[in-house]
Order: sequence, then structure tokens, then C-alpha cells
Amino acid sequence: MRGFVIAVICATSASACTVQRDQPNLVGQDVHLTLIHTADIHSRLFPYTFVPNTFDQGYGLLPVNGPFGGIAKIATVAHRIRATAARSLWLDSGDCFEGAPVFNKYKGEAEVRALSMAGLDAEVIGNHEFDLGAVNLFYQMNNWAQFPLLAANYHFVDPPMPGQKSLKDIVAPYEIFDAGGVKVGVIGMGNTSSLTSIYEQGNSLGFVPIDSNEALQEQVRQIRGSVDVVVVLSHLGLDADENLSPSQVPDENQSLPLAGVDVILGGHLHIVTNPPKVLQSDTHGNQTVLVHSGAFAKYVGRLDLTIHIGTDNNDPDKRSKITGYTYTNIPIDSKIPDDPDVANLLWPYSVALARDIDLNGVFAYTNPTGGANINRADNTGGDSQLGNLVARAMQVQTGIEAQFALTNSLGIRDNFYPGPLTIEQMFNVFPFENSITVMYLSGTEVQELMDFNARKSADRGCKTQSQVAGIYSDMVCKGTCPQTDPNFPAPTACAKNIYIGENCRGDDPNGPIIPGKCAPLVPSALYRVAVNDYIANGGSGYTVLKRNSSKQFTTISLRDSLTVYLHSQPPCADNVVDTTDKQTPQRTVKARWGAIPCLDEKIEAHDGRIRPVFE
Amino acid sequence: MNRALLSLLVLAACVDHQPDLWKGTTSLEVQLIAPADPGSQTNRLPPNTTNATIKVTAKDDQGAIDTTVNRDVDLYIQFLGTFTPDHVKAVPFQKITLTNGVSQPVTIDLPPTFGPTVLWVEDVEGADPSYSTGTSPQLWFRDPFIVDIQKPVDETAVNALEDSPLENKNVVVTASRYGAMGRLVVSGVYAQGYTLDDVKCADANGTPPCVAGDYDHAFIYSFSRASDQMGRVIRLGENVVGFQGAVSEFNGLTEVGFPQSFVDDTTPHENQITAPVKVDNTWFTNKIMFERNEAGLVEVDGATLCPLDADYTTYQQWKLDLGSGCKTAINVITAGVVNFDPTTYVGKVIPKVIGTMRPINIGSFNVWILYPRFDQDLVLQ
Repeated sequence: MRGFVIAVICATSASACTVQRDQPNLVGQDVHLTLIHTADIHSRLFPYTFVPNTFDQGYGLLPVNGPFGGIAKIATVAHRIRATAARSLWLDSGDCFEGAPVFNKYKGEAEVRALSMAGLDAEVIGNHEFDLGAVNLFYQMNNWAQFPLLAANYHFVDPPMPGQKSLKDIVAPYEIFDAGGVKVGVIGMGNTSSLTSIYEQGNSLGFVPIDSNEALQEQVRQIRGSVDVVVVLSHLGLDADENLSPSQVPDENQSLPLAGVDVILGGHLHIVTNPPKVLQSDTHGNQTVLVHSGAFAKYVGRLDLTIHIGTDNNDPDKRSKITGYTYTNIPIDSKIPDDPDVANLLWPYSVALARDIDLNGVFAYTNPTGGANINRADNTGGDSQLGNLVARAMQVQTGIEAQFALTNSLGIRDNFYPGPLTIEQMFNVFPFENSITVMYLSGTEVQELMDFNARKSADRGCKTQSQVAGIYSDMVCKGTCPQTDPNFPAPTACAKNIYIGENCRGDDPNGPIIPGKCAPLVPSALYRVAVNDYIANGGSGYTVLKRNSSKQFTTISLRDSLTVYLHSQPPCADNVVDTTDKQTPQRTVKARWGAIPCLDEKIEAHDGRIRPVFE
Repeated sequence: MNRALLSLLVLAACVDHQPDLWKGTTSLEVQLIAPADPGSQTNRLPPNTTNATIKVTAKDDQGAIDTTVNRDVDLYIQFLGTFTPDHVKAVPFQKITLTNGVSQPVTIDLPPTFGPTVLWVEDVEGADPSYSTGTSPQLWFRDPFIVDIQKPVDETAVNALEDSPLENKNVVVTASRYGAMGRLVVSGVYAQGYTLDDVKCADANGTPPCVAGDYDHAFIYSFSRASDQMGRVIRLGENVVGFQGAVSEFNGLTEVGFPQSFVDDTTPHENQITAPVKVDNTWFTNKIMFERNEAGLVEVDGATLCPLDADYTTYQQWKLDLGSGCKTAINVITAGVVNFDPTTYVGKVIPKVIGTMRPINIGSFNVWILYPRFDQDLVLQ
């Protein structure tokens, strides 16, 4: 009898567990969807210190609230947003790899595990995801990711070994989410502009790019009828995101590649677009909301959408569409508590990092007059003090001994700030594991190299895209330049007055080359040149370096060469006070840190190595 | 006893584990009662439209009225990309009371709005809000003109020199305020942006002379060299048919950032550029004159070049004394643009300097800076 009763109870309970409820009928209703957006986290998993600039402070990153960033704090913010949102998705625009020592040591494992535990819903591939190769990206994502990795504009080729798993098996062009009855299609658009090698068949990354517009149109065509909202998760960069939109020039034949796209969540340029941009996307009055949410884990974007659920998502007039939106950029600072789960996950990584790399080790003291920085960008647009230091360290490195050195400005990612210079700061300045490459260039090729820099710099506000030592030139951003190709008009940007030597302008960075002080470039001569391996391989468009066949890849890292160079500088004077010391009275640098070098405003100061010129 | 136990277990098993999403309010319907015609992209609302009447209804997941709702919902005005007032502050423009899931018709007195505008309502009040939202149909107000971006609400206000009524909005400017006779003409091109004037020409063909009024000037900050929608470099004298971007006050300068500029015809019309406005030293005691001409072309005649100071060594800015002394001077930047060495002209009278004007206000550093565009903007004798 007892067994019978239990059986009846179980049977009855089981049937009673099925609650009859109607499926939601949202057609005709305005519903709320919240998109949580991050981008370019760049391995900033742990809070870090930096000096917020005017823009950062405008967005709420106040110096008093540092340190900033950290994935455990981002997770807390994401949880808080989800708690105040009817429906939500967290989407990341790529480049979670590279930028802090945790990546150099663990190759992306910590980033992927932390984002998975924090609840990320999808990520697009950024260019820095490939920094340790496609195999590493596959390995980390395959082992640890609990979110889909997207890229619709990459055509993955079969791996060389039959049956071998590769990115082709784990990267999807899109993912469709059901967010509380709202179908959201998320299409990934991976970066192409910074991965120059992918245009070559048989490249090491295992894919070739598909034209972004064509790829997007194809994916929108496939999913538009099945979803209420189409989100493009992009790592193309702002210009490319905007170029996906049609111009306002009337042209009946012009394609409308953003037709059917409701939102673009972008990354790559580390910018914040607040308020969001709005792009006209089709001839039915539909618009596309475009958002970029910054970088380095400094912010989380929150885009709240009201979506009117339509009757037919195949019909541009009847489909679901965004009727209103509001965007908030949430600063990540020390006032936000850590998410305990994510913090616990990361704790062993932080312990091992502290054990293996002395990140807080101090080896020099930055001490320019007036508490200034040693900046990576000079306000003239020409050579910068930190750029000069880096290039000089490369040039004079033992075994390199080049006639001149050149490195790309964007490879230097941070300034030296007043006070003790730590190993961690060296990782901030040089997050990439770039090393020195030596090669021989003819004078004609040097001219081509400097011309390329001038053209590229002219397009970026006449701010030099290269930093040098041992060479001087005028970077003509607008002027009369020789015609180099009979099929094209003469360029308006080029390099002039190129000289090899030191201190060629004397004490005046804006002055002319002092006659007889340096040697003019000789087209037929051969020059020993030090560059970094990224541009030596054609990165950032340096094709003149890429095609060179005399390259020697030394594997001497830029970080190490600069560290060695700084170590060789004279120690601080005995009476230099460490103004960052919290003791009263403040100790001298020597008393606190020992006989370490002092870096003032004179060491490798801006001296007109690259002088911007408008003729 | 067995029967009681059975009943309890069955009841327990009946607990509905559906997410809260499917309970209560799913959406807020915002019905537009007035104006009866909200306008359209090609048929904008008349300028005297200053209010709107709406009715709000809470709906459940089946689209039926959720009669359980007896609380306030928050209302914001969304136009030019953001809410008014700012959503972050969580202080709504107005609250609307729902009774049994429905509000009475409510008339909203609108702030000055531009472009497509919606009334956004959200259920975030009380102990257990649904976080549902809803929007009215779009109300189509006219797009802003440059003057709407530049002109302070009150010229006598303390912050009149550093306040744009459309700050933090994503403006879309599609026309001149002067109608068919108006043009948006590029008046200066720089390495990081360009200046644009809203001018009124002699006729609808754009025949010069063209003139601009106060606040008819804008600085479009593109960071790198400015280009149009086709990637063509923006050139002096071009007619821009429209632009969009985010308005910000950067150290006192109203600028349109992350811009998109649209040019149909790239023919330069340099003769449509207005004559520069002459600056005199009364402007220093009536500073609104500077603001009225911010980003516009101005001219300084017969001023004396001051001794070079830290502004020159640090920022390459030299100064012109208009008669009030070098502590009340106008700064000039020619480095990288004009081949001019100020060291040889210290103490000398410079017959004429033309340029677009921008302020910089950083703490106690408050200056107006002239940006000559090319050699001809500097007349040395």
C-alpha cells in the first residue's frame, strides 16, 4: 500500500509539474533589450594604475578612484546591469588578448576563462587574438571558452593535417540568441586592416578575408527573417564600420550593405562614441545605432533598446525595429567590488605572476622638471622623447649597432610617468613581445621608408607614425613631392632632407639641418637598420621592410633592450627626493631604491629627428 | 493523512518556475494622442509644436492590459542620440502615474528638440519594477542648424562662453538656416579638422557675396585629416550638404567630434567664404563677441607682436597686443602652417592677421587663439 501511495504521488506530481502557460506573444509590443558591451580588454584582468586624461575623466574615471579596470569588477557591473534589465546579452568586440603580463605568461588562458565565468555571451575575433598564432587561439578557445567566437568575414581553409581540428571548427559567422522571447542575431566581423598577411594565400593564420560588405550582406540575408534584431559585433574599426553605411549621395545603383542591421558594436580603435552614432541603413527609414565602448577594461557600455516587435521580419516595413535607445558608459574603478567567483578564478594567476615576474621591481626613476611625463607622443607631431629612447636603445643594443633605428609609434603603448619606473610599467609601454630585426636598406629604400611614414602620418593629423634614432628628416605632410608613379598624380606628402647622424639640427628641433654635421642620404649607399619584427614582417603596411631579404631576426625584445639601455644611464644624484614616497619627510631616490638611473627631460629629448612640415 | 500529504506534494510540484520575465508587465504602450500627425522625414512638424499628449498602457506577455500596475513610470525625451534629461542621473523629465495599468492622457511640455524625437517611458520605480520600456511614435522636428549648436541659451549667463545647448548630443545638420540662399561652406582646413560657416548668399544659386551671422560657425574635429563620405579630403570652399557628430565642449571650444561629412559637389567655392570679422580690444571687455565668432574667420589689424613667453616655448603660440597690453592679447599659432618666425618680429606691428578663432580655457589658462590657414592670412608689410 505504501508503495502504491508513493507511486501515485510521483505520477500525480509529475503530471502536475507541467504548468500550462501560453508562449509569450510579443508581436505589436515594445520590449526592452539591454546589450552589455566591452571591447579591447587587452588582458587588463587585474586593476591597474594610470593617469586618466581629460576624456577619461569626462567619462567618469577620476584619478582619486584608481586603480582602474579589472575583469572581476566588470563581472560585477555586468551582473548589476542584468539585474536591472528585462533581457540582456553581453557581447565583446574582440582583442581581449595582449596588453598585460598575464597574457605574456599564460597566452590567453586567463582571459578566456575569466570572460567565460563572468558570463560573456559572444565575442568577435580581434587582430590581437592572433598575436601568438592561430593555433594558440584555437587551443585557448577550444579548451576554455564557454561563449561562441564569431567572424563572418574570414574564410578558413582546411588545416594541413586531415582531421586536425582548427579555428574552422569553432568559429561561427553568427549566433542567434533568444533573449526572453526576442530573437537576436549576432554577426561577427573580424579585423582585416591590421592583419596584413591574411591577404596572402597559404598564410600562417589559416584563413583569407572575405569582403566585409559582401560577407555582411550574405549573413543578414540568411538570418534577417528569423530574428527581431540584427547586431554586428565588429572589430573592423570606426571608419570601416561607417563605410559600411551608404553615403547620402543619391545613387539608385548603390548597394545598402547595412540594410537589415540594427546595431553595430565596434572596437579596435579604443574610442568611446557617446552619444552613439546613427547611420541611415536603408530606404525604408530604418537606422543603425553604432557604439564603441573604449578599451583596456576601463569601461562597460550599456545600450538599452526598445524594440517594437513586428509581424514579418522578412519585410523591411513590417519587421521588428528599434524605436528608442539610450547608451551609458560605465567607468570601472576601485569603487566597484570584485565578483567573488571571477576573483577566485584569477587569484592563482596573480599569485604565480607575482612569484615569477617582479612586476613591482623598480629599476629607474622618471624625474623630468616640473613633474612632466616622458611621453610617447610629442605635441608637435614629430619625434617624441619616449620614442627616441626606444629607438636609441634598439640602435645601440649590443650586437645590433645599427646606423639608425626605426620603430612604429603605435608599438609604444604608454608613457613613463613621474616616479619609480617598474617592470610592470615596461609591460604597459611594450605589451607586445616584439623583438629587434636588423637589415640592410639602400638609400633609395630608406627614402621609400620615410616617404611611407610621411604619407601615413599626413593622414593622421601629421603625427609621426614612426620613431627613430640616428636619422633626421622633414616629414612633409602637405607640399610638393616628386611623382613616383606615372599612373598617379604626385603625392602631397613625402620625406625631404634625410640625413644620417646625430644632433643634426643642433639645439633647435624646428631648425634646419646644420651643414656638415650629418651625412645626407645617398641613394646608392647601403645602411644597417634596426626595426622591430612586426614592421619587418610588413605590419602596419611597411612593405619596403617586408620585401627585404637581408633580415636577421635577433629575438632581442624591445622591452629588454630599453631596460638594458636605461640601466646604463647614470644614477640619480644623491639629493633627488622621491616625490612619490608617502613617508614624512620623503626619502631620496637613493635611500629608497638604491643607485638607480634618473630619467630627466634631456635624455633623448625631442630634437627634430622627424620634423613635421607644411610647405 | 496520506491524502493530505498527497495534496501538499502536488501543490508543491505546481510551483511555476517560469522566469519572472513572463509575469506582470512585458511592455509599455505609448499612444500618441496629439499632435495627430507626428510628421515625417520629409514633412517636419511646425515650429510651434511645443507639446505632445500621450497615454501609457502596461501590457502583459500576451498583449493584454496588466491591470496589476498601480505606480509611476518614468518619462524621458530622446532626440539626437541621447535622453533629456541625462539618463545616468535617473531623474526623469516627468513621471506618469498608471492606475490599473493605464494612465490618463498626459500632455508633455517638450524642451527644445530637434530631429526625430521619441518619448521613452520605463518601469523602474517601486520595489519590484519590470524594467519594461516603451516609446511613442517618432515626432519629426526640424534638424538643428549650426546656430542651434553654437548659441548659448543665455548670452549673459556665467557659462555662456563654454556651454552648448546641444552638448553631448549627436547632431545631424542637413541644411543652412538661410534656406535656398544658404550654404554650408568650408572656411578653413587644418590637420585635425575643418571649420564650417553657415552663410547666406545673394541668391539661390549661391552667388557671392555671402555673409554669416553670429554663431554661424562650427569646428568639425576629425582627429586626422577630414574627409567626406567618399573618403575625399575636405577642401577649402567646398559646400558641405550635411554633417553629423557628437557635440562636446573641449576646454571651452564647441566641437563636433567623430564626424561624418557629406559632400555632393567637390567644386570649391572660395568666393562664398565670408569676409573675416575684425577684432578690436573692446572684445576683451565684452567677451561674448569672441563666442559669437568662435570657429569663424576673424581679422586682427595693426597689432603689435608681444615678447615671446612660455606660451611660445611650450605651445608655439605667439601673442598680438591690440592696444590693451600683452597680458590681454590674442594668441596665434602659425607653426606647421605658415612659414613665419615670430622671433624676428617681436615689438613690430603686424598689419594683418586672419584666421579662425578658437578658445582654450584650462583652469587659469584662458586664451583665444587665431589659427591662420595659409601664408596669405599673414600680411607682414
